[in-house]
Amino acid sequence: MHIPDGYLSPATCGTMYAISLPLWVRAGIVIRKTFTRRTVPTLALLSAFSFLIMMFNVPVPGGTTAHAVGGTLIAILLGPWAALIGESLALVVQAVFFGDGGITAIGANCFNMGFVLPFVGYFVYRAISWRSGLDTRRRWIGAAIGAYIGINVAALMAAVEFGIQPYLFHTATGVPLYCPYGLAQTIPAMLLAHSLIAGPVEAVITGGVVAFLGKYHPEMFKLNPYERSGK
Amino acid sequence: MSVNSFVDKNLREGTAWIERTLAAEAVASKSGLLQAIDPRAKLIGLLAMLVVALVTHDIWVIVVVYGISLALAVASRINLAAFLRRVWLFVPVFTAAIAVPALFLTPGDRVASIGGLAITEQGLWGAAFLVSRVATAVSISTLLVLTTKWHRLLGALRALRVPAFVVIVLTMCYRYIFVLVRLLREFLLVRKSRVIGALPWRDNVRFLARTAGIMLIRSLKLAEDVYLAMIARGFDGQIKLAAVHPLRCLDYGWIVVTFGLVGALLWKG
Repeated sequence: MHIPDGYLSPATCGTMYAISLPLWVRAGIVIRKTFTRRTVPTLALLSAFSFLIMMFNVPVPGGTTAHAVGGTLIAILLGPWAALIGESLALVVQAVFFGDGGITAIGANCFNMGFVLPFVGYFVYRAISWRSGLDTRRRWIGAAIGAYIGINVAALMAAVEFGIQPYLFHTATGVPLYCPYGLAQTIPAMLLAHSLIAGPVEAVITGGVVAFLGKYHPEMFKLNPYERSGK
Repeated sequence: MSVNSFVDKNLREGTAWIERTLAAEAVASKSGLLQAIDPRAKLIGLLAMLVVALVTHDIWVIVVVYGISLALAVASRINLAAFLRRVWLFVPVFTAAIAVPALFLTPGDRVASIGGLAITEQGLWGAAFLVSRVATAVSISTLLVLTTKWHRLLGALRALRVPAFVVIVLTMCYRYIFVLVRLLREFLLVRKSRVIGALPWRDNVRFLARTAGIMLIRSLKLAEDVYLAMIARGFDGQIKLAAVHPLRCLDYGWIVVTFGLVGALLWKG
């Protein structure tokens, strides 16, 4: 779902930066309150962890592998705002220091994978696992379903960003200047790939980690400020 | 799935990734044109080139920018074959696969047909725009990554008004990515050395989920250790970064040349 440079018009990229900016500011404020002076090392390691998750190959039945994003997982354990910052910084490091993923598309990628994915995933998880014990089935099933829905909604966002390009940006003779496919093609293509492969991978990893931590390391859930206050 | 092939694949890719990063550091230490330019000036100039390649509606402008990126690679003593391989092997192959159906799917004037499927002129140009833009963008960001040491790039971000808080977190993040990659490699090697034969998919996934969970616990423990070490060294919550050097003639020259070129291309395109 990483959008490279060249698929989105500069106007779209600029808009996505403008949308992401207030989200980053809000996340920065929430995070400073949560972790106080530990903010710097905690976010650094969290981002490094996000980077690692995105780099890692997960086996898919049938022989191939796919990558997970891990946004819902971080949102469940540390809160959705921490996930936004962790994923965003990991995406910046990937694009700027390793040349993977677009520099101009950072705003769009952060919105899709850093905001939409963890927030949708997290709220679905909260709705399903409401008032359940940490090592119950409802917890990890909620986490898996949340992760699945989260990544699919994020993919839908990316599909819409791709799909509006040919309508908005083309030459007088109809040559598409950026992504050449319209919504009728991008939405089914992205949702097919994410509902069949990336979604199940995300669900299995998220559900698996939540089940494991809920059973052996329930203290890990206490880092999420919303979990702590019982909200 | 063959015996633990995903473990092997991760080990292989992890090693390749570390090698690629080390190779990039070696190129950044060479004495070439882009290496000599201050990262702040370099970042601004390369970003201007990137923006021009993305904004233009004229494919020849993209081709010219691509040509400039190749010339810069040569002037920066980057092995051209390796540069081309890096640019054309990874992202554009994927992009080309995406661009091919556009030849047929884009509505417009028919210019040729293959097996009854019409290729349109609009589809042809659309695909050309996509591939050339992506290749040029990847070339430019590869130039930046290859010719700049990461700590100097971070200094450049600071000089360009990225908040100090973000810069310091990025610095630590970069540093600890390598620590975590090494830790993960150890996990995988230990696992590989204890498994004979194929395991069911379910067991592999359980191993992965546990590894990810443990990695997160270790990451947060490490964060706590780093925090204590910072306190021991006198960290009081204030972030102070070293002063930056002023730009030199070469840097100003580079900015003038790139902006002149970019302006000319924009005016022409």
